Amino acid sequence: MFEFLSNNQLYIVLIIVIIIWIGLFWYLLNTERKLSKIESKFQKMLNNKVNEK
Amino acid sequence: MKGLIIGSGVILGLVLGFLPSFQRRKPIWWIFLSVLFMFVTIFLTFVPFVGSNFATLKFVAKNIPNFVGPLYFKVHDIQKFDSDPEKTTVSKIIVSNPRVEGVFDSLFVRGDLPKEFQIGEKLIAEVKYNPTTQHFEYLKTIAVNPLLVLPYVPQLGEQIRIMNFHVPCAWVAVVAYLISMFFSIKYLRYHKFEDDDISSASALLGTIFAILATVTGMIWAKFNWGSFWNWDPRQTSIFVLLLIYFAYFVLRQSIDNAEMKARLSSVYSIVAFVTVPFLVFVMPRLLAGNHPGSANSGNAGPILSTQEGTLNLLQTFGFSFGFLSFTMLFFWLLSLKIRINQIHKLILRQENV
Repeated sequence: MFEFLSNNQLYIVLIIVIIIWIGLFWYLLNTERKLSKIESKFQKMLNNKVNEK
Repeated sequence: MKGLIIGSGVILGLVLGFLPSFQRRKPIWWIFLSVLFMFVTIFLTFVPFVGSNFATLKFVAKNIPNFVGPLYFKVHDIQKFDSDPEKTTVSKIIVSNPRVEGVFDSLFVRGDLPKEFQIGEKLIAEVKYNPTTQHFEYLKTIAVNPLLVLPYVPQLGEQIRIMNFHVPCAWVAVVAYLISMFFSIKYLRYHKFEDDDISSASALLGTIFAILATVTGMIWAKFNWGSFWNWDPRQTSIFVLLLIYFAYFVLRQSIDNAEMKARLSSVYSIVAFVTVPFLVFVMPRLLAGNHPGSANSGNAGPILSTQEGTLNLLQTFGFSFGFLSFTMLFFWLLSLKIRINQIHKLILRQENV
């Protein structure tokens, strides 16, 4: 494996690019999940206020 | 064919971006597809080897002294002889073009013939052009019977891989500015603040992608043209475009009244977009410059060139997936930004109540 990567250095770049994109997508997915939670919480809060009135 | 494949990627990206409402949460299958397409683009960009045919490589080599490049060929016949006065074995390899039947040329190998040189084998080898003999000499083998081969485009070479990321970034910036203009018109027509939110979010993302296209282009320019910034028509036009949209954000920040801010920035966004097609598609192609596709580059550049084999099928698919994945990434980011803006406004409204 080490020898293969030493001879084909473009694949080292490929591994680095894949790791960066996995990191970016993980961050995006996390943001998406957190935002959805905030949205549903906020919606519930608004509904409660309307019911109280 | 090339236009059809690239066009399909562009249209599919736009359809997938708009169809599940782009202001709401993206469904899980959509997110999965977006991630999948990006990794397909990365795969098609990095896994294949770049290999050139004889004609292209000879054309490039004649203009560059001590040229070394990747040659893709099929071994057709091997002839060995001793060269005087060096007394080293020299093998003359009759090679053919793996993509086109019946096109032959010769390649010289000094010293022992590597074992991969078997009749019928397809190889990609690093070769050096000898201007006195007008032949290529073998340096080292890059790949044996490669499954996927990217074309060698003069002026780009191995850097052709950048195309799958750099060009979609610039394209996404144009789409973003177009969406920004569309929702600005909608705001001026119906006076809904939601439309202004979408318009500003889209302009912001468009500017981010335009900056990404500029930075990636600058890095490429350093190694192709010699310096990061050359005031090439393409660089000048994107610089002017960025200035125009920076002014848009300055305008937005300088007005406190929400309605005035939305109305003035909507008018500005419409006027700003009028310059986009001219600065991105027209001006850099009318003027002489270094960027592929400039008026003096001999053809329309690798994307629009009608010359056979400029981009092979694999590179066309890679490019198409680049457009598709970057357009989807943009719509995902846009939906996040719009939703964050909306929540932020709701919180502010609740605080004021």
